[in-house]
Amino acid sequence: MVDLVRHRNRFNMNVAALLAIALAALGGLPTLDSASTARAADDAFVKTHSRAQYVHWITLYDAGGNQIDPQATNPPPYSPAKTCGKCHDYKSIAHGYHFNAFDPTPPTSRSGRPGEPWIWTDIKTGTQLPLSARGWAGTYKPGAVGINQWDFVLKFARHLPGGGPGVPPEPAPPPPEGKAPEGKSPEAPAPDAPKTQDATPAAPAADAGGAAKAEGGEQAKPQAAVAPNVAAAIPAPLVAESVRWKLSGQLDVECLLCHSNDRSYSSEVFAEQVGAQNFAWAATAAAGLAKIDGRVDRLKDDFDPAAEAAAGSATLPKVTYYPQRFNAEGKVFFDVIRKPTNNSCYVCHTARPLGDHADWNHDDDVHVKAGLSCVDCHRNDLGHHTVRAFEGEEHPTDAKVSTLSCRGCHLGSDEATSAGIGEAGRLGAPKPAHKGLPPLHLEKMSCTSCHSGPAPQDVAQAAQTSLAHGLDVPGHYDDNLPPGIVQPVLIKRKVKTLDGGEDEVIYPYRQVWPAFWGVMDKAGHVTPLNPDEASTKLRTTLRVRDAFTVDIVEKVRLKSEEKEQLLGKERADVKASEYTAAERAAVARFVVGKGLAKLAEDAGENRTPVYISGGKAYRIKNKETGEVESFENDAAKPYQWALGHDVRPARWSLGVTGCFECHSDGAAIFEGKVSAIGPLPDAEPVTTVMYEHAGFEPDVLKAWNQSFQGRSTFKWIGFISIGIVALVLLLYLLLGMNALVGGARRARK
Amino acid sequence: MYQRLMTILADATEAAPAPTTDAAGAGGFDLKQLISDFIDHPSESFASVITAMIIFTGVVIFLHFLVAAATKERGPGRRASWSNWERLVYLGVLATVAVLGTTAFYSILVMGSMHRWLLFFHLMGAGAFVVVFALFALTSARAAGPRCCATSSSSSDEPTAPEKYSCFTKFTFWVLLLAGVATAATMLLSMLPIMDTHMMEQMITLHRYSGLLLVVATLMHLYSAWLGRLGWR
Repeated sequence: MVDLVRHRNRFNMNVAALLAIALAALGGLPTLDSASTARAADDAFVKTHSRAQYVHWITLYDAGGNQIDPQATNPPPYSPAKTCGKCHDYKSIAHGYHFNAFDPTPPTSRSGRPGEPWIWTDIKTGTQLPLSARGWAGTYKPGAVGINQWDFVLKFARHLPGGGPGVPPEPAPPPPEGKAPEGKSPEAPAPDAPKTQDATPAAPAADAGGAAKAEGGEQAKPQAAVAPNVAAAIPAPLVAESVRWKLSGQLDVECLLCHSNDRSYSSEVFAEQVGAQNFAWAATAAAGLAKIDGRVDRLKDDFDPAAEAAAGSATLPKVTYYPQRFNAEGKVFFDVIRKPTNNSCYVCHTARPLGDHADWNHDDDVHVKAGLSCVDCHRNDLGHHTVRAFEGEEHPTDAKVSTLSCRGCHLGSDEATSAGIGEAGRLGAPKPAHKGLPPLHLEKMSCTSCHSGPAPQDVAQAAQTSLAHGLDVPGHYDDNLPPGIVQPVLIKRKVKTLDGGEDEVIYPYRQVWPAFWGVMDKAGHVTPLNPDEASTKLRTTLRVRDAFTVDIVEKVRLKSEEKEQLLGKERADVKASEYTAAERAAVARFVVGKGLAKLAEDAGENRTPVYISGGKAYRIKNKETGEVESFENDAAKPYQWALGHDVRPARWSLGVTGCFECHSDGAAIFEGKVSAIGPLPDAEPVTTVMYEHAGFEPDVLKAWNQSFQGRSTFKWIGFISIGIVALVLLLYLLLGMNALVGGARRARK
Repeated sequence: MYQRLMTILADATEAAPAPTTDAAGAGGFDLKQLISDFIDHPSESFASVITAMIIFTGVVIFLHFLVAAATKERGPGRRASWSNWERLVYLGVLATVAVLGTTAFYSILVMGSMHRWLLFFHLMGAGAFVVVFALFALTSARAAGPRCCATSSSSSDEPTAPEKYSCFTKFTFWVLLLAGVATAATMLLSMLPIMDTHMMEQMITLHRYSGLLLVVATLMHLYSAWLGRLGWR
């Protein structure tokens, strides 16, 4: 019996072992597969996984992937895509946040919170048009206003990091001979959806050089580059674009713009080369590897390199490598760092406050002074999806990044707690006590509203930024240089909270008012004209040479009767430089009327030419007299983007001096004024008060401020009152105890 | 009689079947879950507690009133009347507690948080409350004190009127004072720059619950004082 049991047990064990092995084999197969897949992906690019910087003595490769011989007669420029791409996953990196604005693939181009737009500024037509390919409400997609990638790159080359619009769209497959391509003809693209002020992005429109989004989320094929045999059907600019891409080459993601630790690397040279249309040569020149002779912008559209070289005439730019940059093996040393320095970020992300002594008396961000660098918070994975560090941010990799926001780092977040990480204090961030500050403030106001940017003043201050004003490029930066940007404007917006909900929170913003010539349809939707097109049409009418704001008043030639009508007989002969503000506005408006009349000649039926500036829209009221009227239109509303820097120290934060700093009549946070700035002189600019942006009612504010006058008295009376009541309680407690003790004594007796 | 009623109510609660998980999932009343929520997240569960307490207070008062009406002949008779000053102060307390309670509970139950005009009127009510509250304590403490402090004329042969306050009225008076001190102190201390955010959040929770106790005690005090004026208790 015992033997039987023992035998049965041994049998069971053997069966169990066999089953276990079989299960492990079956279950392990996918594991083995996934492990091998992961290993294969990792093997494609070697890594050191060391914190030590890798020393980059590397071979240079051209755009074709061929090794560059610096001694060759006319060597090609090096290509970051092919050179850096030998060891780094360039394909993934090229879809990172800095490069993916024109990316049609939704998962990698999550645009998140609206940010600073590219502002197309033209001082001759008084244009300042906020552009963004990300579809942020209040901006215009470049394609919707006839700006193709080529124009975009040339305009903003000074602060483009390469990739994105710098990579030409793929050419459409050639159609059968004699026929135009099927589907949408690559003419001037349809205008974008009407600009809205909603937090949700506007519906994407068809971009010239981009992709139109078809129903169901699928992408239509790009159509910008066209086959030669349909050139006749295409407007000239599109034909020019495709040809010139062939001359300039593509603008690769310029890795060294951020990752170079070499102080001789010049972003200015990079911008110069791109401005000369030397896209493929820009990286080589900026890194100081070679001398570049020649400019692509001097070559004609039909330039044929082979024919021209044979004829001995103009050629593509010539590259002469500096031999001292190469070692005996033909390798170059790139002083590359994993984490970019603040200097690299400042090239594109400098905000310059204006005002007296602002240049030298302005302090750096308190985090920088504490030893942090930009990338300590604004970090990214290999895919270069840079964390923007605002609350509620969703990272494309689904990584938890809430601890990189102000609140997450200093106060902690639920995400961190649930992940087992400490609540707060990342990178040694101090935890603020906010003693005496009612917690309601922390719910209804962002950290940045009290701690970031300049403190609210009686009037919102002007500022300049790298992207908008081209800072970093040497030049003369007048304080009135357009576009006019003001900060801070405290606005209440719906934002996502850390727990996935929504709340209305006050944030500080920078604000710009669009200005452009456009056409309005019957429904009141305004479509901007292509700025170059507007410039061509209005050049002789406006006669602006240097600056729209000044020339439109002082350089324009008006007839005597026109001056008398506008200024009156007594002032008709006064010099333009001596006009009052109202007179300047009147003359400017009159000249704008002339421009509108010019545009009306070919505007079409049911389309009214308009000019937008300073928060107002202008149109011709009376065709016979040319009288111009201003009216409200959504297109004139300002565009705002949140500001996060420079963070002021705690003792410079709002409210540090007490409640009355904000809760009193006349406090700038509520009653500061925001006046529109536009190219068109305006004697009565649109002016709003801060509390309107923050959604407060003036009656409630006034009542609240008045009530605060009695706050100190209330505290005194309150403490005295509860002191009296506490004494009464104590007295009767003692009396009660005495009564109990007395009663017990009597009972014993 | 009062104790007998309380016992009956307690027995009725014990006899009620404990809600099952299914019942709770189907929208039933889950007492355990409520208690758990209250302990873990007292601030978040305040809205539920307000509702429960107000309903509970209303039910208790109603049931007690029925019993008191049925047994009014056995009451002590009409209690000593209040002076005009006492009435005025008491009205002040009732009015301020009504304003404070309404603004607070409406905000929490309907809007989720207190802001704008409701917050403004709550603060105005608080200002008036701290004044009338101290006066009320000074004015009515003697009447709510131990029996040996009650005024009685030993030299007179006439029968004295029953005390102004019944035992229960005295009890609710002292609870009202305690709750009022806690409610006022939590907010007054928060107005000083001595507490960090976490402590202020705890003060807010304490303020809410002590304020709720204040309102309930005021309602009970009013009810029992009224019964006393009727002579039923």
